Amino acid sequence: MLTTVEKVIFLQDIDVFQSISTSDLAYLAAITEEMEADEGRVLFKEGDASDSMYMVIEGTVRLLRNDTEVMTAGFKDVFGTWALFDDEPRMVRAEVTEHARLLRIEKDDFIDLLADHVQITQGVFKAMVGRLRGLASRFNKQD
Amino acid sequence: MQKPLLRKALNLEPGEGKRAALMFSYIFLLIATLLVVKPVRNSLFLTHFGIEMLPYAFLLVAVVSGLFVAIYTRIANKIRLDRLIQYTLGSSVGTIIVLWLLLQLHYEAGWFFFLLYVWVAIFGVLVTTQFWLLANYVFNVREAKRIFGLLGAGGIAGGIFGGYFTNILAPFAGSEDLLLFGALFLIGCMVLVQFVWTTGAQETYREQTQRRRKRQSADLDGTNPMRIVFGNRYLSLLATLIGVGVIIANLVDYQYSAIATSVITDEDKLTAFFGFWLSTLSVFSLVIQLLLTSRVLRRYGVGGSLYFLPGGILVGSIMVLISGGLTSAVMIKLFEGGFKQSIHKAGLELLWLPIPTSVKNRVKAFIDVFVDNTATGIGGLLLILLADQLGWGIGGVSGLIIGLVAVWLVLNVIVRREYVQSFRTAIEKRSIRLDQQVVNAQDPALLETVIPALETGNQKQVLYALDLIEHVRHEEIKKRLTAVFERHPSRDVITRVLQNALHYDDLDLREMLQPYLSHEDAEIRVAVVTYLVTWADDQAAALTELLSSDSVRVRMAALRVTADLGRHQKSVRTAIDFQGQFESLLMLFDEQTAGEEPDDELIRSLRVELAEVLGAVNLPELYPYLHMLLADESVPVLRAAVRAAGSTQSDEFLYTLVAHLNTKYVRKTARDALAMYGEAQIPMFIDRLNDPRENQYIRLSIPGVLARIGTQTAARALQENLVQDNIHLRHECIRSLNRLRNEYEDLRLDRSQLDEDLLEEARTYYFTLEILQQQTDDRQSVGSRFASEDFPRARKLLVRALEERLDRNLEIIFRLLGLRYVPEDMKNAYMQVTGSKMDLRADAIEFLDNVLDQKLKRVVLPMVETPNVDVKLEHGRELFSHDPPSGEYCLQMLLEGDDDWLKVCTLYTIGESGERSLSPLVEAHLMANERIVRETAELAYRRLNIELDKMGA
Repeated sequence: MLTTVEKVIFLQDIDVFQSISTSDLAYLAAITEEMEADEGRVLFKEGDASDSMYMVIEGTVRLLRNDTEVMTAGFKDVFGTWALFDDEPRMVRAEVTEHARLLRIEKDDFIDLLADHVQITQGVFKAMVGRLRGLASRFNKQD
Repeated sequence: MQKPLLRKALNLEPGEGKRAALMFSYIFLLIATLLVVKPVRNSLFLTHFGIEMLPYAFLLVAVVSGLFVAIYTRIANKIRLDRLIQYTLGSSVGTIIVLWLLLQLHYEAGWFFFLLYVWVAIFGVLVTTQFWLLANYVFNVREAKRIFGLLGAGGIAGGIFGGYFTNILAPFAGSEDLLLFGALFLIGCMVLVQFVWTTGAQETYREQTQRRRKRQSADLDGTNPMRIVFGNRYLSLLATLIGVGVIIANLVDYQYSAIATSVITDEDKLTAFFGFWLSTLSVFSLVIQLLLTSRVLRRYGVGGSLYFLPGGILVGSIMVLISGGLTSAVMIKLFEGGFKQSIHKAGLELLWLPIPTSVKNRVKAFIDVFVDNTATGIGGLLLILLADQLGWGIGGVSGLIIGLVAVWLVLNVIVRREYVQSFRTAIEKRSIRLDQQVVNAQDPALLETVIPALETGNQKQVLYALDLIEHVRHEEIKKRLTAVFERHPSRDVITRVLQNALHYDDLDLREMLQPYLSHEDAEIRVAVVTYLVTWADDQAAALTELLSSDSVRVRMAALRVTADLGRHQKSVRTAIDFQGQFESLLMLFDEQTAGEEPDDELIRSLRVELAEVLGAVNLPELYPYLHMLLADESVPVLRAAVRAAGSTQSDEFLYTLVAHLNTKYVRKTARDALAMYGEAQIPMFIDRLNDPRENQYIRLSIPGVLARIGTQTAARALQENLVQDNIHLRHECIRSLNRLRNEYEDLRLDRSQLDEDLLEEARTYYFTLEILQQQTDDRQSVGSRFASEDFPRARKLLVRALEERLDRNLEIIFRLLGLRYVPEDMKNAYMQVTGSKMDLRADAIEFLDNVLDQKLKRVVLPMVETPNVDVKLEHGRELFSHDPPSGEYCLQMLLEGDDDWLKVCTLYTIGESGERSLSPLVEAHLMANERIVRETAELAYRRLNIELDKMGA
């Protein structure tokens, strides 16, 4: 099992958390749950309620939409991020293709954490705005 | 790391050497050229016309320079600076060659010598002005403070060289041919300008020009520079300051020449005297420039540097007034010449820094050329009038100088104040406080705005209009209230309309309010009941009728209104049995909410109302009900109950409310509620704040409670407890004090205590920086050959945590400064010194340099003015007399410090380092109170022991 500090090392490389200070990441680490999943296990299906995001520590998870592979998540890849921010149902199916160790953050815990730590909220916003700016500048370049 | 000796002696930072060398060479050659062409011009002019025509030449210079500036500023605005300089230098080379050719042809028309005289005067001012303009782009404010002194020295050295060069070569080459050397030097300048532009100025110029295009208002373009100068207080003062200085310089020159001529009658000896002192003056000026200018600017800032020249002239003039001898004449010239081209010149250039680039470009040449020459003209006219016409002697001129110096000193004080204000304005422009708009409710124009908003506005506009007319009574408004009510039946509009409607005796809305009496929104019901009761002939009867309503909602609203009235009317308090009313309301509540499928939403909203009623009634007999609601699971109910408990100010709820400081989503309400208890509970809050066994969230919330109490006692309590072992707690205390300071300007804080706190925080900052440096330096950091593959990542985490800690330290320091100085100024300065815009950063640092006390400046400025860690560390060691700590000592300090997260990162790094010798440091934390520290210590300990096993194997 990973300790809090090891989880922080992991979380600091996740882009949506990159603007959060490491000491605040320790609070986030405290609500992450480490889990294992055997090959073939379906973590969620298309249309399921979005309730958590996942990060891969070991193994691989395949993401499929209409039975077509969208991506294969491996070490340090993240999937289901938007579940933390909206209530839309899952758009993909997540299926473990190689025995996996995962970190999971539940939406309710995440929202509670944001309510208590405004600086974490600011960090998440900053990262989101950074993403949007990146997208906007890419569009501008294309224009 | 030690600075190279030359760089240290010249006070240069890394990366500045090349730019400084190029600019030094440029000004050296420029002034050398000037010192070659000026003597040639003077000798030619005087040989041809004699001394009598010289005053006319002065006047001509003044007139022509005016015309020249008008044309030049128009052109300057349209041409890129480097090209403008190249054109000027190129055309000057051409002019010199043409002049030389004409002289070779023995062309001796009178206008030609006047033209030569005027051209040299304008050339001298123009090329030096362009040089300093370029220098402002090459160096930022902070660099300028250190380097402008060196550049001034370059100019002086060029002067000495040029003078001696002319002196030595003139007998051999002849005066006229010397002009060609001037042209040669200028070609050298052109090459240097090209290098300077590509090395240091191009980028800054482009950035500032782009910003100018974005920001400058259109009406500025095309405005006459004279209008800009006289339309701007700071620029007018600057122009006056320069003008007064030039007039005095002319008077001093006259005085010096007159005394020398009266004492030394022999022409050759007089020439030797002038020659000797001209060179000596330049040397004196150079010595001051090299040894004093930078130090004076650093220590006394711009303001202080401007007092040296007038001070020196004042002393010299008093000496002349007393003795009138040659020694005093030399002294005054020595002071004037020595300070003018060194400290004063550098200080004067810095006064330009707060001026926006676009304005500076347009008016600097105007002030330097036009003001300088006009003042020279005025000086000449004054001398003709006073000395020649009125017969004033040396003493009279001294008296005049002393009087003008007094004006000069006063101007210095005003300009310095304006200088600081200009920086303040520049950094404040980021935020515009719209909430500070003032609206005059009595203004007839107000109705013209409000009526259309009430008639056709959207809800936001209607609300804004209703807020504006909150206390205004007007027939035109009355006519429109009913329509507004019907058009926007929302809570905010209804409550405001009913409030306003109460101003009118002849506006009866009772009938249309009946459907709203049982509205699901409690605030609407309360507003309606208040209106109905106020309108009733017999208020008690109206209340009694509403209190006996069959609707629980009506009764709730009626009881709240009754309780509110009871606070101010004893008759209501005694007439109504609040306990009986509440208990009967409770029975009705149970009846109406019971059923097989209870409506949870309805029950929750009614509970919220019950809590509000309990808070309004505030009867100890009913407190048990409030206790029940304080344990409710629903957050809205809990919040309402917490608010109600706070409004009772009863000791009975105090500890429950403190406990709710640790309840998610309720903390803020609990802080507000506890603040209602006021000053009496401050000692209890402080005890909880300082109790290490207390819950961390509760401790962190208490400073916020004290800030909300908002009294001098609360502020004192916060200040006395500002130094907390835990950085998060310390940060929270300071944040709360900042909040108090923002809300209550007249708050008195112990300034010396604040200074001490600030020094302590600074000490922590510099020491943390030492530790950070240790960790980023591979040679000094811990880590054995048995380090794990995760060790680099662990060390990276520790470095990042230390950087975050430094950021927090710096924020606390600026928050403390915000308690000591104008909070908004310090907030803006902090945002800019931590921002990415280099020139805004430099502006903010310059502002701090002018505002902070000497003691604080020494501590704070090094933190922000250089990104060079070695320089910062050197300052820290000098300030707090500590030596660079060893790697192990740093780790020990981190583990004994106040920051649990840094402890965690340190323990993890030690664990991954494989340094078995550090094991005792880890062992000490195996039993730590904080789970995260304990857990990491266990992990580190395991890792070290595994490494031990490997070693054993």
